[in-house]
Amino acid sequence: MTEEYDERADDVRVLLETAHVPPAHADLARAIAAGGAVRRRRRYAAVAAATVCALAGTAAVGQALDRTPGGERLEVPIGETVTGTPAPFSACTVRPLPPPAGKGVLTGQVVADPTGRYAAASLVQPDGTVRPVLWTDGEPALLPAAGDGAQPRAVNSAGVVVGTSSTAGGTPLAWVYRDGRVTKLAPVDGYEWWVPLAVDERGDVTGEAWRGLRFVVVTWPRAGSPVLLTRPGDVRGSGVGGDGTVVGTRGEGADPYVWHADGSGRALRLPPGAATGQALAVRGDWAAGWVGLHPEASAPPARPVAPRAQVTESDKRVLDMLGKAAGGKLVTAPARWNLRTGQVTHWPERATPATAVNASGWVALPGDGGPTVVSPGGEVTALPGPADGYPTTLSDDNRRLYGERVPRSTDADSAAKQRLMNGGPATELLMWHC
Amino acid sequence: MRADDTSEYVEFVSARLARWHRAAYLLCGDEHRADDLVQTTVTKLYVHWARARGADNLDGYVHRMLVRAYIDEKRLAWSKVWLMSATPERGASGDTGVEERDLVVRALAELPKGQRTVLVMRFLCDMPVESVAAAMRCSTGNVKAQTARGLATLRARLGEAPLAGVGTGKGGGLAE
Repeated sequence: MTEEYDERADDVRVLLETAHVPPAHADLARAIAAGGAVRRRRRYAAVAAATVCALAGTAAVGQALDRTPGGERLEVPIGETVTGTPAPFSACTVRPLPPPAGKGVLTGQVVADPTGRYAAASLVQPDGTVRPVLWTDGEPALLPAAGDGAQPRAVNSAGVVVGTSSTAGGTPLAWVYRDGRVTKLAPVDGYEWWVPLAVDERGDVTGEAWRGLRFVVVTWPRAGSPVLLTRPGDVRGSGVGGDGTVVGTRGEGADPYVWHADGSGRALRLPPGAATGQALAVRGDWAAGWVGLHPEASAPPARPVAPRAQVTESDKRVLDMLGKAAGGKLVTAPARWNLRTGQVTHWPERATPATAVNASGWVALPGDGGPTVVSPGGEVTALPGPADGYPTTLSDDNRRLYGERVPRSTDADSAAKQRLMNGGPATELLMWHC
Repeated sequence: MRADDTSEYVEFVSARLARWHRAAYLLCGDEHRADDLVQTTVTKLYVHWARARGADNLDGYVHRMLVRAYIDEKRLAWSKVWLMSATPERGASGDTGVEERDLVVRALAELPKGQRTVLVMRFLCDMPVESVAAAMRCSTGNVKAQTARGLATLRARLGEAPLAGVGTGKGGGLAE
């Protein structure tokens, strides 16, 4: 009798496949961070067990150690993988992100979710107003108006977008696009300006607010008023990870800094010869950004201190502070931090900051002859497309990057003007598919 | 874990998250608990990835972890310890028109836990009777009996609504 029932269960299969299910909020970076911690605990336990067992000389020693092969030594690739999977980034293509048909020209910086499925930027409409745009797998859709000069700041893997704009009266407006509607995020009382920097998989928004040169990290829970996560101070956030970890800088000299959802924070290590730095992006155990080196500590000739990534309205002030602190004599180099071990890696031969990092520690390095990606072990792979391609996002599965073309040198403005005159976009946004 | 392994893990998991979430949600009928179940499962999978990746049937292995996480209250309690900091506020879903869309979800929720589990595992996750029995730590006869009863009850509950109409709803979230 049961077999008879089973055979006829196709209707139930269809029901289960099509039943309405709310969006998922599981977060891979969180899984890797938490899972990594469990594995480390187990390894210590295994080592301890092995020590005890070694006295008895049992075979358990080998077993205990066998369970924990390789450890976390990402810097040293061990052996060959005998899988048929091609190396990451070995077959990338690049194409421009299209604007919504006939609606205006693209502008602003592109942001993307950790899966790389969603990307968002802005569109200047023929009447001069600016609207946010959301791409799903490269297909654009115009979002509802969200104040003056709307600029998306982040998008999560459910397609929820957060961004900034201003009201008609010139006051700050932080907004969230969810379920087809744009809603305003509550103002941060007592602050001049506030910017959402991230929206996590649960829909909680994290950002920063400031008053003069005093910054606070602030979170807007899915339901409720904004909550200040840090005391007003000289720390400021640039990037937020899925687990609520915020990275940025601290102090006038701009020291790279990380702080956690519980409010605790610490300085990130600087490599020898570096005086300053800033972490711009964070994902799981990894942060990416730049460090400022004294020219004598880096071989190539002096370059300007000009980090250009994840810029917020207040970046200028920080750059001013930087210039003062360093006497304008520092050169920048991209850097990556392992938040768990504290290890910092930097590339003194390059000048442009590391702009993006994913959950497994790959980073995107634009500039200096063309955009590249660097594996956790240090292998460098060039990305195809224009040499001034400037990726600012890198998906967790190493399949998608989004960015823009950033012409270097002083003719950047004239090039943009020329594109506008020819009816082209003010900004050329790019999508790499690997 | 080696970088290659982590990339492999991320690739494997990203492609399946939506499906696991669907299974978890249909099992427990609660948005946040479904997230917890999936989060617990992917975290454990990461811990055991070196071993798991060699499994003959990795999908089946993960499905088993998911069911166990659901069935085993102790395990769930353990997961709460580190998920607690990330537990979102409940309620305030603000969803309208839920009535029609989650007819199936409600009908499933009204089934006894065992029947619901076997239906989801067998017909959404495509697990064979033997694997479901192993995951649920019961006999294959028990799984078959629960399948038969579950199907009968589900069909009776949905009897009034034409089945074809139910499937044409908006579909769920990320998967589509």
